[in-house]
Amino acid sequence: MKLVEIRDVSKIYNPGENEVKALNHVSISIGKGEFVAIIGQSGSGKSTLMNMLGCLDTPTSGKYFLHGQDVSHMTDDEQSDVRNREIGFIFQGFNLIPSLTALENVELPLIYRGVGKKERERLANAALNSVGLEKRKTHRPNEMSGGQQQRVAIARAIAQAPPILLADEPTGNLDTASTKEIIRIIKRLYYEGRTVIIITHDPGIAQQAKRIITISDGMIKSDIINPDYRDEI
Amino acid sequence: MGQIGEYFKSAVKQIVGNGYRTLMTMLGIVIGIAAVIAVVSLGTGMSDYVTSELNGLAGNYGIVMVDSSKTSERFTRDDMALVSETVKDIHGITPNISSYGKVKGSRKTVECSLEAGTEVLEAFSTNGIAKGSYFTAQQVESGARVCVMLLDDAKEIFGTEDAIGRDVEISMYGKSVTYTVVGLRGHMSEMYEFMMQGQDYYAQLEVPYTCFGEDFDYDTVNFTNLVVFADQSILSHKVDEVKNLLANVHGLRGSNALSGYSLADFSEQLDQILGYARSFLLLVSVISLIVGGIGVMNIMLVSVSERTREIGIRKSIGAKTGAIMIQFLFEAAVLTFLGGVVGIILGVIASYIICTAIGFRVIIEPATVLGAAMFSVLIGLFFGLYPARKAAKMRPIDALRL
Repeated sequence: MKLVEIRDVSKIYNPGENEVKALNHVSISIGKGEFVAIIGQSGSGKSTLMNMLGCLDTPTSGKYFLHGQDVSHMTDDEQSDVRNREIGFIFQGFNLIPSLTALENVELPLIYRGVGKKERERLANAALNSVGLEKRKTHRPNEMSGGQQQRVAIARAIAQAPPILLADEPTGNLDTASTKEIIRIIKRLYYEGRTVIIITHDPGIAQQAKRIITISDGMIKSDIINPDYRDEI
Repeated sequence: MGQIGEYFKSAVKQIVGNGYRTLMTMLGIVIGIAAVIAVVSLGTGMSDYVTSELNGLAGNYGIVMVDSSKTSERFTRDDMALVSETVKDIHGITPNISSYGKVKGSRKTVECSLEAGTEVLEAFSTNGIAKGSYFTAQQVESGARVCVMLLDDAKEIFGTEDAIGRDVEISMYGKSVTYTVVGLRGHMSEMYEFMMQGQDYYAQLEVPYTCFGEDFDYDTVNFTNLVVFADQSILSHKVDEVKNLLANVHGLRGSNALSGYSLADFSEQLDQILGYARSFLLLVSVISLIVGGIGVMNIMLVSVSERTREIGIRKSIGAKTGAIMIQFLFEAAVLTFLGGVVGIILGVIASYIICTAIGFRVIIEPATVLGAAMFSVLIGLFFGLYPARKAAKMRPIDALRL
C-alpha cells in the first residue's frame, strides 16, 4: 500500500459547454519517504493537483487513497481531520496568522488536534528550534523576514509530525539566500524520514527532488527519477 | 476545556487588536444596556416615590358603602362591633360623617371642615397628635362634646397654639354648640400647604360622631358607610373581607348592594399605569439594544470577510466547521459582554445622577444588572450566529485563493 495513491482522477470546472478539465484522468502513487517534485507551468493543473493531494478539494471522478483510506468523498469536517493528521502545508505566501506570535502560529494545528497546553508548547518549541528560530518565538509575522516567516510555516507544518509535507511553491516569494535556506531545511526533513512533495513551476527547485513528475494540460507528461539528484544538504 | 480557553484568548486578542473599531461597535450595546439600567431603576424609583407619597397623603383606609337605591338595610353599631371582633389585622372601623361649618374661637371665626367618627378616626391622617390627646372611646360613648384640630387652626382662631381645654363654638344649619379642644394635630405638611395656597383658610376639626349627630341631626344608629383602617399592603383585601361579612349579616349576598373601595385600589391602578410607562420605556431601550446588535452583526460580517484568509489557513491546518464557528461566536459574545459591562457602569452612574436630581430613592436591583449582563451576551450570540456560520461554511480553497 502506497502512502498516496491517486487513481484516474479528473477535476472538471464549470461542467457543460465551457467546461475546463483541470485534471484529466491522472494517476499517481507516492510511497512513504519519497521526495517528489511536481512541475508544471501555470494553467497546467498543478494547483488543482496540489489541492487534491492536500485534501482541500474533492475530485469530479476517480479516487484518492491516503494511507489506504478513501478520502475522495469526505465531508468538510472529515477532510479537516485528515489534513490535520496527515498533511503539513507549506504555502508560497507563508499563510501565517498575522495577529499571532510565531509560537502561537505553530501551536495552532495542535490546538485543533486537542493537544493539551503543556505538550503543545513542548512540541511547538521543538519545531521552532529545529528550524533555527529559538529567538523569534514571541515575534509576530510582520516582525520577521520572508525567510523567517517561511521557517515558522515549516515549523507549523512539522509540529505534530504528519507523514506528508506538501509544499506549494515554497520559495516563490523568497530571495536567493532564503531560498537556499528553505530548500536545505526541506531536504533535511526528507532525510529525517518524511515524505516531501514540492509543487513548483521552477525547474531549479524541481532539480532538488529525487523524483520529478511533469504535468501539462491536466495530464502527467513524465514521471522520472531525477538523474542529477545529489544526495547532500 | 483547554480549547475554550484558547478561543477566549483569541477573541480578546482580536478585540483588543481592533481597539477603535471595537469601541465604535460596542457603543450601540453600551448605550442600549445603559438605557435599560437607567430606565428600570428610574421606573422603580418612581413607583417607590409615588407609593410612599400616596401612603403619606392618603392614610391607610378604605370605605364600605350601602347603595341606598338597592336596599333599605343600613350599617349599625353592632356591625362595627362584629367587624372589630372577627376581622383580624385591621386597626379599626368607624362611621364617618363629613360636613362643613364655622368654628368660632376667642380671636376669630373661620370656615371649617368637620369629620365625625369614633376614636379610630385618629388614624385618618398621618399627621399625629402634637398636643393633648385624641378623644377616647369613653368620650365617644358618653357623647362628650370634645374636638381635635390642627396647631395651625388653634393659632388662627385663638391666636395661640396653647389651646388645650379652650372652648370653640361650632355652627352649622343655624345651630351653635360649644365643644372643648382636647387634642391638636401637628403642623400641615408642605405638600398640603402647597395645595392649599391661595385658598381661604379653613380649619380641620374632628369630633365624636355621637354628640355631633345629636347636635346637628345626623343618624348615629344607622350608617350608609363605614371606614376601615388597615395597613396599605392588606387594605383592599381587608375591605373586601369586611364587605363580605356585612353582606352576609344583612342578607345582601350576591346583591351588589354593598361596595368597597380603598385608596390602595387607586394606588394599584397607579402602579399599573406606571408599569405600562415602564414597559414602554423598556421597549424603547430594548429596540436600541437590537439596533446595537445589528451593528455588531455588521462588524462581524466585515471581520469575517477581512479575515477570509485567516479562516482558510485555520481550516487548511485542520480547524473544523465547529471550531471556526465557536471562535467567531466567542468574539461576538465577548464584544457585546464588554459593551454590556461598560453599559452597566454608565447606566448605574446615570441612575444615580437622574434619581438623585429628581429626588427619587436610587434603587438598582442586582437582578437587573445580572439580567443586562446576560442579555448582552445573548445579543452577541444571536447576532454573531449568522457571521460565524458564514465564516465556518467557507471552503478552504476559496478562502486561501484570495
